[in-house]
Amino acid sequence: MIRTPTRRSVLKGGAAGTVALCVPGALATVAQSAHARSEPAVEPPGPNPFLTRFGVDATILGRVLGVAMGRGGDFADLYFQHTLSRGFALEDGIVNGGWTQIDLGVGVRVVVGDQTGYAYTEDLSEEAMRGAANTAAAIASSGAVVPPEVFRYPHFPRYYPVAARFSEVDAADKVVILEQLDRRARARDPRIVKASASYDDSESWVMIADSDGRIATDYRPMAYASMVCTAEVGEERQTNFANMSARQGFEFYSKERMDRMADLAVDRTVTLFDAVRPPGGELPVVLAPGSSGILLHEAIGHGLEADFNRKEVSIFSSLVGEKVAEPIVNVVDDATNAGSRGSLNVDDEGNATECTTLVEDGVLKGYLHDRISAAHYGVAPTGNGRRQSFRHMPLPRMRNTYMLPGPHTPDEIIASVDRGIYAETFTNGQVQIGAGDFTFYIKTGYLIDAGEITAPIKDTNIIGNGPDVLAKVVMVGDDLKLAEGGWTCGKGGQGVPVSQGQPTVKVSSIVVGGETGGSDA
Amino acid sequence: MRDKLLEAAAEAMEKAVAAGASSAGASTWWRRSLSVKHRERRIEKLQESTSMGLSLSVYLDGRYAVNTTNDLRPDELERFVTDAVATARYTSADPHRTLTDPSLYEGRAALDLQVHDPTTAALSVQDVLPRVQEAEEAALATGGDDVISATASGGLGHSVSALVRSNGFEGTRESTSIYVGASVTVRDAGERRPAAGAYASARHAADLPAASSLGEDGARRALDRRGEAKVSTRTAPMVVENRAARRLVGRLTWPLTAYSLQQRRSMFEGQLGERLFSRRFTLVDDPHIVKGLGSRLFDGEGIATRRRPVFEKGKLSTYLVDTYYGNKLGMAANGGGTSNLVVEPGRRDPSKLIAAADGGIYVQGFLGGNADTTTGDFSFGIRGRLIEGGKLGAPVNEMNATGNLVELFASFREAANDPYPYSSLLCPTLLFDDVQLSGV
Repeated sequence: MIRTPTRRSVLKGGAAGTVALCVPGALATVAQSAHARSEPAVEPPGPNPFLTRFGVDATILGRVLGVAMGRGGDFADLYFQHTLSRGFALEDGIVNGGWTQIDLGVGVRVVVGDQTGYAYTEDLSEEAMRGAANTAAAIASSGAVVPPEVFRYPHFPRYYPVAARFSEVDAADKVVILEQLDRRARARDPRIVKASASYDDSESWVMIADSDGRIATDYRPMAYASMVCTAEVGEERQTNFANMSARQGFEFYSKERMDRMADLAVDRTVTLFDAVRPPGGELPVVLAPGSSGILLHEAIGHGLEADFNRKEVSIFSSLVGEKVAEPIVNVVDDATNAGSRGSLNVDDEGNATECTTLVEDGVLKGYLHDRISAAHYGVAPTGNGRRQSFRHMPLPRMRNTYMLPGPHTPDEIIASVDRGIYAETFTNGQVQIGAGDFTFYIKTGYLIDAGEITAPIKDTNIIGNGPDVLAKVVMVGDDLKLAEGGWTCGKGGQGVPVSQGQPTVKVSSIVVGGETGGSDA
Repeated sequence: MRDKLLEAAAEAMEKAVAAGASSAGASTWWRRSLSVKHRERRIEKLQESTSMGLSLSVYLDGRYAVNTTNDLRPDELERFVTDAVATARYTSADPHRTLTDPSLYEGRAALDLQVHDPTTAALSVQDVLPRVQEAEEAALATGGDDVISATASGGLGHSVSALVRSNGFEGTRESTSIYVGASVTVRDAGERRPAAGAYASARHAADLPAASSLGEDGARRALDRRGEAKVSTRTAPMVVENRAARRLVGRLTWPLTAYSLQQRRSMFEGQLGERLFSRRFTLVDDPHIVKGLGSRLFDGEGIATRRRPVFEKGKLSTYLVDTYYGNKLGMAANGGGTSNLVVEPGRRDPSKLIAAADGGIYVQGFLGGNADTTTGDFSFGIRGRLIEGGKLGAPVNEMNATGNLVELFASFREAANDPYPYSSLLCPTLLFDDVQLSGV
């Protein structure tokens, strides 16, 4: 069925816990941001392995781009993608299924101002590519533009070097990981009655050739694992899960990390037996460090994607340069964190990536750009042009969005709350770009009473307004962590892998879904 | 195209058996799609493509793998089949992993569901464009000077697919769908820019409502959101508009699956035949609605579909059982998914439900939130209007509805007479009592 388009954006994914990813190295790249501009390079000697993979050469690329620009246009690009994914699932103590997926194709885009024509083909013959180019060219209606004959190969930094490629690892070694997860979970708590786990890996080869004569290439790994547990006490059952993901090779699945994931899945499940619903209404909320960066993703990240601002449909459209938060609030969207799920060496338009500052000392600094919006605003692209696959045109999207450390200790933040909640794990969030209203769902957390963490809580939606909540971030911890979970951001019907992070943060007041007491209507 | 896809699926299946599979299934598909977005009275985005693919399920004495590719070059296909069988070899032998009992393939209804419309399938971008332009013009006219941005969209899909299983199933289907609508953002006080939209989809282009009515409706909904504000926390009636109900009703089917039951993750475990919900609530899985967006004669496993009540006057009437989890549970498979879901409508207008819900909230949309289908606990963000003096009042935002799904549907009071036709969930406006609504 065709999905009706919507201006809402959704973040779905798993919770990640309080345990740190290897963040120090990742955050070190923040300081050296914005220098990663692409440099021209000459064509490497010998056949380019990406050209070989896709069965094309510079002559064919030039001819297809010629068809794409045959009716004019500002520029055109060809996005080649080859993705090999595989996985195994474990259930009831055995590995009960495996899967593989091959995805291959090229998307052709023609841009005229802010107008885009797009077509793709899964058949990489020149005839099929010319057919797609001709379809995409329908957006333009002026004279033909001469295509490039010679291509440059810009050099990009490598933010996710891989030690062991998935395609070179014996599947038996992947199956073993699931069996270890299962044993670990069952041994941890006798109340666990069901445990299931999945192992998924994927590697993509991407090549972008454009009418400016650039060819950008990237090898993109993605590692993912998840575990779901069900526990039973008497008549009562509870289910919860943990997942972890990163842009890394097979080395990601270390025993230490997988053990930790199994422990988290079990602990998050059994804590639900004691959990209550919080009181409903406006309360102070303390966010645990890590995946609570979902607050930033929803409250401000989407609202700063430049396509919404170019059309003036974001609540942040006229706030650049304005004070939007306390001076302790600094927010970035960073593609350069080593091996992080949202990191990118090069974006899906062939542009270099960077660490982009969104909020500096409480002042709104700028937007997340793709090529169309950067041209509209007359600024350099920020490397945020991303797409789900060759079947989709790029849009401005987030990468790893996080808040920098602040002056407070986690203990003093919790101690400052008389009556409120401490939010620890999250499942999903959503935002309305124009009204600014956003939500995120707390799967587990705790009540805070007189400055102390007390009873566990569960299943509570938080709802607030972006600029309003940002202004209510009154304390920021010194304990920044990036999420470890497998978060996927949805926008315009496209999902892309992202991450987020945050130190411990206090929001002075926000609407919490919960118990309302008796009937009064 | 049907014959070609059927042949390709059968060939892949035979190759898998030749490569060592004890049994196999395969599906193939072809799809053409196009979409156009119109903004500021010109095309903003235009897209048109066709795609093909193959999915192969390999069974190897209880070992199992499912494998998908769109790289259909003959050499690559050989390698794909070899890899598929090799992948299955790494899994464990599971006696429950079998093909469906072939008796369930039989009894396919002899109906023309009319889910394929040759006229719709033949439409081009130039044919869809006038509807999209009409929607944009209507949105701009209705919104007037308050409009910041109006984007109208339209598009269609034409799909053909084939499914084969090595124990004797063969089937093909062909369908079309088309949609049109508009999203509108309007000015409001301060920096707020409320947005809303209205869309409709159908199998046949001729069954879509006038594009102008969707543009008008989208703009009016956006204008109605101006001045939205928080209201006080309350326990009160909740009226859910017909088109918004999927977020609630859609949560009822996952815990009914044999998967959820067997994995002990269902709030409905051991409840078959019990009356759990209000007697006024009836939900039917009806695969045979002519032109239905979810209509089908057989499901993804080849099981012939039948109309089946899911909740009958509040009583849980069926679980949704697929082959594998049915085997694990010792339950007969009856189809693990749903097709069109129909909530039995009532007799009264939605306005009568609103009049009967004073002090409550009229929900026009949900924002975020989630539900735990093991326990039924939910918490959803809602947006809508306050019900004051029995009529729709001020727009409300930043509110959460929180509770338990079983308790919510137990406190279901009434369905209106307005099932929403442009969805595979045919649901009227619904009224629930005593919902916990958190605001300021």
